[in-house]
Amino acid sequence: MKHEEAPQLFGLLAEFDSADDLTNATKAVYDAGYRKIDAYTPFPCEPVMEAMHVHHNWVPLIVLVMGIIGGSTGFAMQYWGSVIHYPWNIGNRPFYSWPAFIPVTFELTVLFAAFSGVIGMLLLNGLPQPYHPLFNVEQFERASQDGFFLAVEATDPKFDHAETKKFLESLHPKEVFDVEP
Amino acid sequence: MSQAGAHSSSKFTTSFANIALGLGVLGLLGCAAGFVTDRAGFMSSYLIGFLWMAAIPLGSLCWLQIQYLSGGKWGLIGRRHFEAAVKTLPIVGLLFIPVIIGLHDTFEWSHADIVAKDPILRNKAKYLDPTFFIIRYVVYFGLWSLFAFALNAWARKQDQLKDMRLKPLMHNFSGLGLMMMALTLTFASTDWIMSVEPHWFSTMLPVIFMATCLQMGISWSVVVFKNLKDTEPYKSSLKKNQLHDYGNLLLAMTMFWTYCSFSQLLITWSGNLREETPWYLKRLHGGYEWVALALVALHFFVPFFALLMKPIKRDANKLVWVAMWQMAFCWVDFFWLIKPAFTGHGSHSELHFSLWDFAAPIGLMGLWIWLYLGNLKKNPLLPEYDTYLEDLHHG
Repeated sequence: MKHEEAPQLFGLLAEFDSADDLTNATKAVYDAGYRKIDAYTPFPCEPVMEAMHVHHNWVPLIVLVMGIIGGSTGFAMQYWGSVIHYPWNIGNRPFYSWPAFIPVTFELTVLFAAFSGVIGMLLLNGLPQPYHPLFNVEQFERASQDGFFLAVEATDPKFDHAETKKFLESLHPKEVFDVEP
Repeated sequence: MSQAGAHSSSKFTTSFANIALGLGVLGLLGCAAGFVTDRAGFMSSYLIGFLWMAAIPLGSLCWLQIQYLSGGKWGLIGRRHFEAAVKTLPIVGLLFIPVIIGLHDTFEWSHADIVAKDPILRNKAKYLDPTFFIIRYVVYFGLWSLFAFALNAWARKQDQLKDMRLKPLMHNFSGLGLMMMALTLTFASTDWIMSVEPHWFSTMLPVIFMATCLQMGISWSVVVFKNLKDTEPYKSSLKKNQLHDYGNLLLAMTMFWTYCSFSQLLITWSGNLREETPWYLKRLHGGYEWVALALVALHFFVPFFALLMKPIKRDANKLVWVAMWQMAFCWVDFFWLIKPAFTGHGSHSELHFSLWDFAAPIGLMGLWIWLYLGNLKKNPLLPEYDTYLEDLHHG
């Protein structure tokens, strides 16, 4: 019976009292071999991230590369504009007056870096997401207030509805919910 | 915090203090020799060394007040260390006395005959007046010492009272104190750095000086943390996250210094005024152009990219190298700002080092570190009572 039910589920969701409880539970779930897990907290919580072993993040590299591209673009466009394309004598200064180019170079560095940070973050994390199976659990609303949640998805190879539920319940949650897809 | 006195026996506060005192005495003996035998050549070196050393307690006084206003775990970790640093300010003030004795060898405007012949200096004579200069110096150090001692006294009191009664007072006082710092550092840098070239003026220079003070204060914190991280109470309370905060503050101050220094160049370059440009001409020729390039490459680009890397900011053994590097280049910056006024005439100056350039910073910094460590030993490294103390042990 349970084997027929399992694919119908998105997974299981456990609610915990505090960030510390959630961290301990996440560690236990990870150590038990589950990998398709995710934690939901009302505020950024680094110990939980560490417990899930999510370390790698491409956003900083994207921001760095785009910042350098932005700065070079800003400088190159001004160089092209005032030295090659439209040289104009201003106050008898040299055409290549680099100090005047720096503010725009700086601004474009910041502009490219900031935009690529926001856009890169959105592309990589899949947001905005208007629907998510976890919304089927009414209590999940509290993940943005005072609830600490841990989800184990049914697609995890180790997932077994009854077994996993029993395991989650052994970690002292407030409650464990079945999540419909 | 039962291990209150544990750190007092650490290697840092004993043998390191002795080395600092030894180097300090040696350097100051060199300074005495310079003062007696070659006062004209010595005074600029001493002024540079003095500003470099004074930048740590002045930056620390800013940080101490900032952390009262901002809150945060980084502030709780650094509070007692900043307090120890600012308590040196009255003695730092006494170390300025050689500059006053050597006023005529340091400041062109102190010669009445030169001022009389120069219409620009004549117009500035009311402000650039030896007596007024000394009064201002007394006011600066009076105010700094007053704020340093009040904040220290209330911190001791809070530890005794074991409640947060004094916190609003310390908050408000720190707000007032930061305004006081902005004003006094502006006037002090005008007196001590800008007026060595009395024709020149820049409203950006005080901000550059503030950025350097803040950089020196935060860098010295990192050096202290690196040396005390393995002893209690830092062993159990100084987490990687807090170190990361200090690394980020150092990054911010590095960028702040660059922003201000470049702004000054850009304003001067755009304005193209004859009172302003010779200052840069002097500093971009005769060997000083290499110092300027070194500042751009090594005081900004190298530490900037190093401090972008998270693993460096989260490891005290790595971050300490960036911090000491930046402290060394703060001296180079002071050297570049001040020295060219003393090694040439008109708008030309030749890069030139003397023995005193090294004796003065070593002597003054050695003595300061010894004073600081003496203060640091007197009190526990963490506040005895603060409602945020609990959080510190939860990462």
